[in-house]
Amino acid sequence: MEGVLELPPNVVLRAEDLSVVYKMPRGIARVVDRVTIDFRVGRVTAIVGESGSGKTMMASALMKLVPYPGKIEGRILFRSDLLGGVVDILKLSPKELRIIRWREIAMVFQGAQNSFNPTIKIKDHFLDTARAHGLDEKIALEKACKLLELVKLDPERVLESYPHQLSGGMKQRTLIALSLLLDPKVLILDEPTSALDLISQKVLIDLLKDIHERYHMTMIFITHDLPLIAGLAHYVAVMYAFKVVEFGPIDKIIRNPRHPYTVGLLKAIPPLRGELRFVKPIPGSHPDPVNPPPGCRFWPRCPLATDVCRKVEPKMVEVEKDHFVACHRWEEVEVSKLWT
Amino acid sequence: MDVNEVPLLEVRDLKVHFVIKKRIGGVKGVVRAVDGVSLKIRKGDVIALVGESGCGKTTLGKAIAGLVKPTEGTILWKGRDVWKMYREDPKGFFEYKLRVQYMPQDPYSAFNPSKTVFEILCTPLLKWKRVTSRAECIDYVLKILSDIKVTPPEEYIFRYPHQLSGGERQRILFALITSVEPDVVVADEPITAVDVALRVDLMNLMLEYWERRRVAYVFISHELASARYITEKTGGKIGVMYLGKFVEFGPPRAVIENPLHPYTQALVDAAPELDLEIARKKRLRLREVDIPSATNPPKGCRFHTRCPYAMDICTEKEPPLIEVENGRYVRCWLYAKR
Repeated sequence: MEGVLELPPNVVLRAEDLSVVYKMPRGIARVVDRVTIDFRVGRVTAIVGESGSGKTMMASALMKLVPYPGKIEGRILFRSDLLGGVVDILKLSPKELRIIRWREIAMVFQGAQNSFNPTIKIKDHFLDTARAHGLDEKIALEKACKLLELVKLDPERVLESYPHQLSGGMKQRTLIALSLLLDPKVLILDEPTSALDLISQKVLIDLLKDIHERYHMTMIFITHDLPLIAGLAHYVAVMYAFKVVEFGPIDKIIRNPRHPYTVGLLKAIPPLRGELRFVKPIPGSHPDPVNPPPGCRFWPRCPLATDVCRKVEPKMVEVEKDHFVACHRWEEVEVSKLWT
Repeated sequence: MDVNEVPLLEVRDLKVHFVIKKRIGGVKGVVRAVDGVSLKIRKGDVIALVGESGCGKTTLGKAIAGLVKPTEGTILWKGRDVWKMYREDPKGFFEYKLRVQYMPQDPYSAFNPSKTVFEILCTPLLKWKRVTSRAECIDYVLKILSDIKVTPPEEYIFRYPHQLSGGERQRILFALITSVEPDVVVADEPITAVDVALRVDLMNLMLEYWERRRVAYVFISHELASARYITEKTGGKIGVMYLGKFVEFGPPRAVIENPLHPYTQALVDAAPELDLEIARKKRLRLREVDIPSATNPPKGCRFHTRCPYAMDICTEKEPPLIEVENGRYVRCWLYAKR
């Protein structure tokens, strides 16, 4: 390995120039395209975007779990305690990856219903995980009970149940308990609330908040629902067309968005309270990964697009402390005037 | 609106129970999916049914559309009992079924995957004689597609459902349902499977159609902000359901900004909001997270097992649905006379 890898003390995981590439008969699809993003220690970062914007792919790439035949390019730097220092996840051997996965970075995949083995009891899911990662079974069961209590489930009942005997919300909470079994320091959650109803959604969000307050874990939360994570996230990365177009603290993203896409996203959500305006979705559709538009990818749908936007790809600039945006005309973005 | 006018559709004390049978004879239990609901739908009324999964909103929607036979109670279509009509006047029953359309939950499985958009859209047109020939049908389908802004329509008519995006599929489903010009559309969670940013797209389409034809909607959703959007734009009502019954019913703004029933309060607490100050403070105040089973609903008020304000009377007697203000109903002992 050339030189010693370094990360600033407040960053635990960093993706540098990360791309996920699929070669297909009709062309090369870059489903994540040169994304650079930092995940801060002990903070909750939400990745928000439309379906098909590459957010799940990016999260999978962080654990080197991209489905075949996808190729990952770039670097993923991670501060690992078990491997002693900062490592590049993409260069690790399968054995080293095995050490990191679940024990240091755990992921809760989309669709809890399908993440369980329907033929074994919940208890055996916990034991399986413990065995695979060298944790004593007795300790594992004790811990499982504690974690299940933490997610407001009755351990005695749940451990002896088969997955089909639990409701969707209960399965999702069990899955979160399972992902915490080995005390990971980074938890990646991929749309954990999709297919859950309102109350179970909120229960889950409140739980994650409790867990975060208790363990100060770094969380990466992937969702298409920005209001959902408003009370939970500290940072938001907005993805559009396989790139991060805006990144910053949630207060700044919601109160002072600088990318026209973010503004459109915020304005497309009907408000729960207050005055009811006519809400309009962003016109047009999301680009194809094989042949994205040149220049800024958002220009075909953007009301501010000029010639520069059509030709030159905008770079990420820091518009205020910690707040980054990739737009040529960010200075002219006025929330009240756009998308009316 | 004339109070004495016969409503388009009236639901009187409707009950839909499903019997769970044991493998070898006998009854294991009864799921009381809908357990005593009354409702009137007039021309152009918009009613949003909200509640958790398992509260019976989908079953109520299906019963309104005549897809499930009620166990007790009646559904009146223009004053005539629907299920009596089914036995005695099949023609009248089909007229009702045509005029009340059900829009299924999942746009992915609603279409036959081996038929093109054109074939899907022209089947009801030919069946109900909206058009007489296939040639005329093409023009009609092209018009429908450009009406719902699926453009260019020529490109879409020969596509298969899997070649459409989620949003397009939903628009086409809506076009299919409205192509027979119904008076009542029961839309079952139409926006749940769609990205948050695209949800208003379908709702705007529904609103546009409402403006044009004053169709009545029964909009089933568990999402309060959307329920508010569609009802407030049309002067409709929100009905909150819990274990087969209405617990609160009223105009959207009042229900959301001043929820009376503790369950409605929980739903409002659970609804995501963009206002950061509110979002960071909001916490659920339920004693129990999970909904009890509808097979064996709690005695007394059905919500008492989870209610933060439960009193002694709540465990014994079921509260009546009372009108607290004009057009605003709530079923809770906090407001009812004991």
